[in-house]
Amino acid sequence: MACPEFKDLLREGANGHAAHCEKCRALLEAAADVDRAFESAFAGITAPSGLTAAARARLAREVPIRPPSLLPEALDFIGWAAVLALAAALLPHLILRLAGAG
Amino acid sequence: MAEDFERIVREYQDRIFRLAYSMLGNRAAAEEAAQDALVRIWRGLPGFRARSSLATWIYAITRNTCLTVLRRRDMAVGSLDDPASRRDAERRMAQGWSAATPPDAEALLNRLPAKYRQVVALFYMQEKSYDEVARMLGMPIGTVKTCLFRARKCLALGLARERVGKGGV
Repeated sequence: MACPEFKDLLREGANGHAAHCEKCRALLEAAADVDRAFESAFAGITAPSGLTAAARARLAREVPIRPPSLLPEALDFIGWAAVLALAAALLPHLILRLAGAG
Repeated sequence: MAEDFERIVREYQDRIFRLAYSMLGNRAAAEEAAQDALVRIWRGLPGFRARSSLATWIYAITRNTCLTVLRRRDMAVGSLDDPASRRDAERRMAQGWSAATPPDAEALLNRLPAKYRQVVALFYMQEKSYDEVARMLGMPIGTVKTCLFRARKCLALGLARERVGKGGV
């Protein structure tokens, strides 16, 4: 009797053709061993416990430092400009008054 | 945003790590890639527009992170439809088996081309869910089933042949 295709052999299991064919039984056992080997190696793998903490630490390091604000400098400039403008506006009047008084 | 990120970490960190592990093949590289992926997810989260599902977006980021690592390693990921990849698989099969009985999972995996390795490893990590593996790898479910079938057949044939050669059967 001709041996079935691999997928048919798997479907039939040990009680099908493999029950009477040593070669196919060996193939079926090898397939089961492969399955068991992978199951024991990979089933239940979880992320390492430090993964999240390491990612958070990297995020904390990688958050860019914000550049200093220009607002205080701008306010400083506006304030001094206002003082100078006021002085420039008042100075002629002051000079005239002093001259008139003299 | 921080709450969303915490939820993602809780819900997806295992799957992100498994996906990275299946693509990169070792724990240390997978851990580093998973960290990278989490950082990219954090950065991308404000721009996430839900055009795709959150899971699809997270898996795509993880896969791209791993592909960057693989490119850096100069390792090409084979395609099922790629004749060179198929020839490579056949060559690996013809090499004969050095694995002792019972077979060692890593030795078995190393007999497979990269694309088969990813699918096989992830399938067993994800409790044999074809659906989840297809989603995580961004592949049609039929491709996942084909990969698994070919990989199992290739490994079982090789193992059975080796045992016959050793006079075990």
